[in-house]
Amino acid sequence: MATEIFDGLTVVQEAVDATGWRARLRVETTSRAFAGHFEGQPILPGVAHLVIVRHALRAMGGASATLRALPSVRFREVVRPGDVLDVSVRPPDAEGRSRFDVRIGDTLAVTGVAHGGDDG
Amino acid sequence: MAERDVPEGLIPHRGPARLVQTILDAAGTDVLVCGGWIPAESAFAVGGRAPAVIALELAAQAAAVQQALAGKAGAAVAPGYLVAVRAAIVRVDDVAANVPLVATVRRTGQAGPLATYDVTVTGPGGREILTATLSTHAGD
Repeated sequence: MATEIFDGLTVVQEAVDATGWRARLRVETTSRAFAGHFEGQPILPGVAHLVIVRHALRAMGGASATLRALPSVRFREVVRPGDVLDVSVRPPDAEGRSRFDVRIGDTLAVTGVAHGGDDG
Repeated sequence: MAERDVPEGLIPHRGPARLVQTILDAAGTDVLVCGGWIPAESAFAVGGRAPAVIALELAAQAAAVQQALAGKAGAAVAPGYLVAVRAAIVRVDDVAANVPLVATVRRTGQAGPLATYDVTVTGPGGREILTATLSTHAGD
């Protein structure tokens, strides 16, 4: 069974190394994330990308790692059912900032900076 | 002001995507306090809990309600978009689904369809879940 980050977001490829977390994700047309968002014009809620970043921080930092702050995020392009996302989350720099981006093919969909931390 | 339900047609979110439920207070034209929750049937909820960052969506929907209330009565409801998040602080890792949350949004800027809001979402007992500055686009 394919791994999902949330309902209908399937992990096609995922890798973690010294350069960070990279993944190819498929947004299934059947994802409940599109239910009611919006009728006849389904788009992925922007916060879905932030759930992906939380998942990446945990993949890089361990089970207790979590998302603590988002100094800046820009949503540049909407994501629709069936889109394939290429996501990159870099390891934290000296100030704890992890830069991330989400692409749909050659199109930059989301960019941002996140701070991770331990849960609790 | 008495608590009242957010009218069904005021914003386009439906079903499990609809997080905002009630208007708790409208203290002035630029400030709105809304109640809501993350439904257990949300795509982002697992085992009755959801990542706390989903509470940003509740705040964004409260901002959409503020835009609708401040706009022309009877205007067409169009999907709006979250275009930026700045200075977000997330105090907890996750929150329980179906538990009442309160989103307070204060409009700090407006230029055409673009608006900026300072937002706070709290949980039971007034526990702060997150704060942020959101920028939204009212859509076409």
